[in-house]
Amino acid sequence: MGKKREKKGYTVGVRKKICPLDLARVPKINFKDLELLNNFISEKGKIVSRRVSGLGAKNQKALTEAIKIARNLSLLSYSEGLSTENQTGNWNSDSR
Amino acid sequence: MKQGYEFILVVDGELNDKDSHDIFEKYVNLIRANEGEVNLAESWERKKLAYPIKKKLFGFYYVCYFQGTPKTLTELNRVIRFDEFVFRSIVLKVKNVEEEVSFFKTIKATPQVHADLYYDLQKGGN
Repeated sequence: MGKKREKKGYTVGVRKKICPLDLARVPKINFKDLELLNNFISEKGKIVSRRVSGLGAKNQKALTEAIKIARNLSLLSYSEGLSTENQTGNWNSDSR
Repeated sequence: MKQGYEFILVVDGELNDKDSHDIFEKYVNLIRANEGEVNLAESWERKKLAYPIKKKLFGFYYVCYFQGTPKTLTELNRVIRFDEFVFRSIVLKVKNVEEEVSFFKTIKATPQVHADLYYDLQKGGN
């Protein structure tokens, strides 16, 4: 994604944005990589947009795919911030 | 030519370790019996579920990498549907099984690796 600033009809500067994951040399995005995925999730559990995350097209696509698989496997929640305590008693108790 | 697959299984976390592992072993043996070649079959972790499933809060996560044929998958999917202790299961196509196995091992040993790479970049940038 390049950002153009225009001033009086001509282009002043073009800044090329580089995908942070490519810069950090992260090999690939996988749904098992929860610590990494947590960086791209909003407080309510939504997937962060490309404008905010700054990821390239390939990585963003892999990211959404990974997050959706992780949600299905109950590794990530569909909706953080919703109270689950009322439904299931004490959420922190381990009954085993 | 066999296709590589990744099989994830989530079992009821309120069972004891042995029972849950037996359930997983059952499906691994099923894969072996149906033209499947198992590369890695390991438990991942006993995790807290992100949301309750069947009013249970914990689950055992198991991961298995194998090479198989469509017959393996149809048999696996058919049998797994009737298991009440299996909360979730997924079979994903994988291009390079060896690569995925080593990736899983690094993630299991050090879950932070890739996130740390990302954090370091953020720190350096500011």
